[in-house]
Amino acid sequence: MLADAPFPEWAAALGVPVWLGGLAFVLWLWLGGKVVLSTDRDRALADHRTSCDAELAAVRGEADSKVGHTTRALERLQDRIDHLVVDRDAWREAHREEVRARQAAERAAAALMETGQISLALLSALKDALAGRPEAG
Amino acid sequence: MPDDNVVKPSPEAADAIVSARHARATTEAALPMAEQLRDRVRSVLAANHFAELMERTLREAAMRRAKGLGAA
Repeated sequence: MLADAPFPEWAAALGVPVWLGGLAFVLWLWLGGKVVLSTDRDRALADHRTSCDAELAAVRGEADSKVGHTTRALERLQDRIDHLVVDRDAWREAHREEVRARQAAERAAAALMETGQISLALLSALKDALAGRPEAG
Repeated sequence: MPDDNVVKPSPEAADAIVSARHARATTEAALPMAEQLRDRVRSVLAANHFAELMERTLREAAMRRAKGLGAA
């Protein structure tokens, strides 16, 4: 019976049963399939990781570019704000000077108006004196 | 050494400051003259009033003296 079976003679000589050889063969197939599948999965994972890294690098580069653009835009805005603030302070200083000049001019105008009124009174008195009416005034 | 990073105002604002300061200096320089002129004219008016009062008083005194001499 053993001679007719497709079984190695050395196995028969060692006394290994047929079912154990079949079981070993099935285990070998199973483990070999697992190893092959694992290798394929590792390769796919490595490929996916590579593509992810490339995509991440691209996204990171784009984000860095946007950050650079935004930073430059912010710097330009900051410069404009600085200029506006300095300009506003300058206009405010000019306004203060103009207010002081206007106040001084108003005081001078008031003094001149009072001078004119007093001069008119003096002229009236002079006119009365020349007309011979010293009581007027 | 001037600092190039210092933000300067616009030329219009700088010109406005210079113009306003010039106007202020001019008016503040003219103000004492106007006040001095007013004070002088005012003192002249006061002197005129004083002269009129003095003249009236002297005339009144002369009239009273003339009346007193006439009555005597």
